[in-house]
Amino acid sequence: MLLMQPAVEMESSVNNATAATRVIIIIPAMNEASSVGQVVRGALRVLPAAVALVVDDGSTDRTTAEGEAAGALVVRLPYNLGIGGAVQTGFRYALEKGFDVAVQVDGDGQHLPEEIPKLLRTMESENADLVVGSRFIEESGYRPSFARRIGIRLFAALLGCICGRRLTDTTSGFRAAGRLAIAHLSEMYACDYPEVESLVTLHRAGFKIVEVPVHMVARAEGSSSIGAIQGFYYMLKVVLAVLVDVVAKPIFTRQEIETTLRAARK
Amino acid sequence: MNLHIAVVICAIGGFFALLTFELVRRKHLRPEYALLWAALALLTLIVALVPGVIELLIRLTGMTYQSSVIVLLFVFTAVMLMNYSVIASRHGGRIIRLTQEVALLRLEIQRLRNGKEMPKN
Repeated sequence: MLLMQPAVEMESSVNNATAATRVIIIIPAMNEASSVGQVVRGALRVLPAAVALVVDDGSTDRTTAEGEAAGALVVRLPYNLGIGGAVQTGFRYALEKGFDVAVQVDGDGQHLPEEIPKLLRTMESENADLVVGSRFIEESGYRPSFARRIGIRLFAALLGCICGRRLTDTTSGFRAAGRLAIAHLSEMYACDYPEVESLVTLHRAGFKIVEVPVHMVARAEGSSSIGAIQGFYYMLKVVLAVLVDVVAKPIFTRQEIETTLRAARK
Repeated sequence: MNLHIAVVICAIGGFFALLTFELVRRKHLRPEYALLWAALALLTLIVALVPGVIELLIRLTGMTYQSSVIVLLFVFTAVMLMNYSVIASRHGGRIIRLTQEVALLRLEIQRLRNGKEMPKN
């Protein structure tokens, strides 16, 4: 596996409580020129020491230019890989450069940068590998349609059964991943329905997943493009993908990753 | 099996054997993917050249009608297509990884060119 090569800049701040935690903010963006700059500036204002990495997923507008102007590094994919492939590019970068925490924030501005520290604090206090920002733990003002609510409930119930713990927001793309989770995700991140599927693979691989309540901004223009029939079809595909993930091999466990990274450091 | 049919089957088997060999020789077909085709040619030739094989197959499978051959063809086609689906999936995964690597390398080159570690405001 590619990961098994020792990472180049892995030395810094490993198992060193006094060293500052190196945080990277991964911002997947496809044609988000109007919002990506604001997201980057917001994130860097909250965490001035962090690195913002915009993954431009084959945009045809000024997403790259806006991201760079706002002070982010921009990885530009030559064509559209989809959200899964784009975010995974960020995780691969984070792994290679030895970041301790990777925070994923959508480029469309629906996630609030001010809530990033909440994810980081929870990761620390709960000793979690993955912290997911959830719209549904507390009253967050988010009002999905009836059909959407059913889908959300179904995913939550399914994932809850598989993972053996209560999960409320399985499609949330507002998350923070620790070092071992970064290593896992840079190998295993699903390209089809990455948010839902990664919960299953991370759980199976022995990672600790924790949710925290967050607020999200409603979609600025228009509603989601998913209609009723497409919505049902989407649900069916996700459920199938999740069932495949339950039996998929290999799972690349937390234990294996820990052993490998420790060996690479020596 | 009468001689006429034996000759026709033999010709088909020989044609596939030659075609596979020639495609591999000209590097239009990678040897790993040629194996199934080579197996098909070999099987066809065996059926044509070794007397009694067809009769044995009929007794084993219970396919007494000529049209049952179509079932065999279908099975072979299905195996072939499954083989290609696996190959296509593998290549799909590799292309994604390559795309990511290329994009990351491009960022790295740009950073080296600019001579600074991180562009920050």
